[in-house]
Amino acid sequence: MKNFYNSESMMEIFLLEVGEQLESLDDLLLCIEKKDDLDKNSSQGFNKDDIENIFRIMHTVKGACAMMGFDSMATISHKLEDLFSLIRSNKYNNDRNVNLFNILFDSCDFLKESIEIIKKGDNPNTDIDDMIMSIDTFLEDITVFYQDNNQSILEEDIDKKTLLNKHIHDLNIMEKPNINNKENIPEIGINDYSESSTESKENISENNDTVLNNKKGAIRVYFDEDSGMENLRAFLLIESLKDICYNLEYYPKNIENNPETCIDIVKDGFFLSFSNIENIKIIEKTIESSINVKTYEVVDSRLFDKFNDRYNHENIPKIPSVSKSIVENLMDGSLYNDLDGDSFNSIKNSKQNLINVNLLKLDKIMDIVGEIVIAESIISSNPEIKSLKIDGFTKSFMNLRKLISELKNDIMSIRMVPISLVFHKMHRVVRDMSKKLNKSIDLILVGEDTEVDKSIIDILSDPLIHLIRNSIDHGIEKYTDRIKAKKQEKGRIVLFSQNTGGEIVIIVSDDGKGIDEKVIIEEATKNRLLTKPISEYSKKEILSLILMPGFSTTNSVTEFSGRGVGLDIVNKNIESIGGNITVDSDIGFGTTVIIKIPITLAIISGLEICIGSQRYIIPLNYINKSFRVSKEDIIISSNGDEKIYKSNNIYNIIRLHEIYGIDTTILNLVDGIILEVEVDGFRYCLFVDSVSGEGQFVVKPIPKYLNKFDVKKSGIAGCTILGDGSISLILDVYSLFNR
Amino acid sequence: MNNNISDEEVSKCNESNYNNIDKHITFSIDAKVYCLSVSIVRSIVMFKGYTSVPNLPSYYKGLINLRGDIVPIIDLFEKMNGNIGILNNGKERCLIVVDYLGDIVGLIVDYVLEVIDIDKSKIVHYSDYDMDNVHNYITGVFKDSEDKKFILDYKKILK
Repeated sequence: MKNFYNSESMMEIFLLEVGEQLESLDDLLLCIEKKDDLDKNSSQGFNKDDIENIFRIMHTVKGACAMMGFDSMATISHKLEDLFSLIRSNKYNNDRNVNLFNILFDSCDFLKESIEIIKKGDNPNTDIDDMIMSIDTFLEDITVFYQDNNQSILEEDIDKKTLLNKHIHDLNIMEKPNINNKENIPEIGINDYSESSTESKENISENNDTVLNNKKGAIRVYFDEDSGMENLRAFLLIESLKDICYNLEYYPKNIENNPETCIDIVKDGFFLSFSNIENIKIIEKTIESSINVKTYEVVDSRLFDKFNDRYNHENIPKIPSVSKSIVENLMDGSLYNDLDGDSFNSIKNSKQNLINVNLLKLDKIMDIVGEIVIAESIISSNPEIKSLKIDGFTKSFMNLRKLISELKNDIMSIRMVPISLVFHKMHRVVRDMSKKLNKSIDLILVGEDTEVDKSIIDILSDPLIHLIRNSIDHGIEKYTDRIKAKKQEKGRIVLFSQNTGGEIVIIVSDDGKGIDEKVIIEEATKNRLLTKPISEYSKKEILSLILMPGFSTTNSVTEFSGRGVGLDIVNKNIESIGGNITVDSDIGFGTTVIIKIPITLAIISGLEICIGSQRYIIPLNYINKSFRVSKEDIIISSNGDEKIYKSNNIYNIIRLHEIYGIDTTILNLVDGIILEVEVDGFRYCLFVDSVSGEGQFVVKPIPKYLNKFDVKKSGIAGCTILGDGSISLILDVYSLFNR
Repeated sequence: MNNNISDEEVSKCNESNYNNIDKHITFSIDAKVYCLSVSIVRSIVMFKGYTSVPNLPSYYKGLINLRGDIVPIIDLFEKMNGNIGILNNGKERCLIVVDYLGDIVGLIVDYVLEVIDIDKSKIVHYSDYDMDNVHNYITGVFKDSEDKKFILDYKKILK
């Protein structure tokens, strides 16, 4: 823990990498646990792939933590690794799974917390004795269990694993995967396998020897004194050299698994040998630029062989196992695919294609692209250029225009992330709560691919956790009560999201006991939250009381809720991003909380309409059709209201120019265009002058400064910048009607 | 060093000068000259088209696009005089873009003139004898050689 703080970029990579690994571990564990719950009868607690994946993650995390000097984290992950090597080795009995998962989740949480602490610049908590204790106890527990079982299973599996690692390593050196061999891994006996693999290795080295005429380069590297973890530093060096060295070998061999090699490395240096001596300059440079390298020297390859022979004679049974995750990166997809299965491959691939970018940078690019679009339209509308009529120019300008619009669309989509990022976290919340409260609950996610702005994602997480906790704690009844109420034993929480064009709608609904209005009123009177006589409150108003600060109906404060701050904070959070919450509840049937958030930055397809000199955008998904009317279609009712009779329906009509006070020459319904719009199943018509086009629009919020005037209530959802740089308002068909 | 004036006095003098001089941007509306502290001014742009927003008070003209930012604009003349908005139509006007507590707002004026130093001690404050609506938004008058310059109370205008 000495000098990592100056290597800031490394720190960043560490945090990112480990954070991601832990996320996927969490997902994986939840997945397995669920599977486990489903088929309790089948003896298969973990399947092989799962264990391998978890093992791989733990291993990477351990390596990274040790590398950065976070000992407590490394210790915990090491313990977990131990745990999994045991689980992997015996036919694990899933009677103990509950315990196991608790330990796993606890440790995972600890690691995550540590990451958060490190992010803030502090050192992670080192008080881990309790956790280690619990893991150790559990380890002992299952070890005893395991000893009752057949011991050979353990050895066999561990050997297999080591050999598998070795094999991967070999393949990597060969850079030419031998498919046949690999496919055999799971089936063939240990002896056969080790023979075949050593054989293949020998073959290769023989081949190389003949081709390269024994021309080998060797380098001896010394690391900084007291840099610590020499083995891992050597390992990193190997990783960086892998791409540029052929037949890379090194001594001491099992640097990654055996910390004792540190001593050797400090004493004798770290030896590298490679066959492409012609590239030695590049290799030297790479070594030079690696961190913690003190000196290095080019040595005779025979010296390397000498050390290597010594190693061979010592005949250590362990074979260098290169960290699997890195090997995987290096190997081509097909090989990897065969090893770990399709699904995992695709996950890994998608991960490789992601980078993290500062949001501010994206905003900046977005602004610049906006400027480019405007600049382009200024050029194209310049009358002098228009009069030029040069074929070549027109053509290339069209091309430029096309490229710019592509660029614009791509940039706009970058900020959008699927809401599943938040939704998936809820699995964990449900899992923890249902375990603690002993309620069995299904979480159903609908519409997780809804894309929302990154900034919304960050804010949504906390409110959703609160709401779900509330649902589980207050909403969903105990097992016995549910049976009494003739409901399914398992509670159900649905998390739903949808982009309705103007808003993102998120619904959290449960099938619990619902909210009793009487209780709310009682509680509200007690807390003096009522502002008018009880009789004047509508059901909606009563239910919305629970969102007020200081409201709590639970008498006892539990770990999860009852402090009377939860929903109030949810409400504040949602309001801070311009959204609102409504609560609906039926006693005995459950509670539904509806969150509506305006799309601050989203791309909608919309119809551009003109009224007088003003242009507005109406989201396309609200519009059923547009048409012209003839005099016969217009009905004027006795009180003077205009209606339109069209295809056996009578529609109310809203004259936009009237409600917005816009001067226009088109006042007669017959002269303009009628748009039939639909909101929540209700249809009405808008009267506009003309429709000028259709397109994609970036929704920007109305400046906060104008919030006091309730612009939203007058039917404006946001605004957008048009191609010519002018601003157009986006209409909210829903609030337009409910004005 | 001149012993007649003590160091203390010099520093006092400097300090008071430093504290009292405030840079202001001057502009004209309806042939009157107003001053606005430069500390809140972000930029000055030519006022072109805008998009009107329904259901706002009439002095809120609407929104403009300022290099990708959406900025609400206020007609200062209308804001100060109520709804008596008969302004030099057809003339090109300017927009002073201010940053008030993080909110960016454009103020429509006729001409932007210059940036001047104003010695606070020379400002004659409108105190309590408000005569008409205009004075609600003006803290005082600064008089140099010939012109009267009105100091705008931007906090009140933008609140």
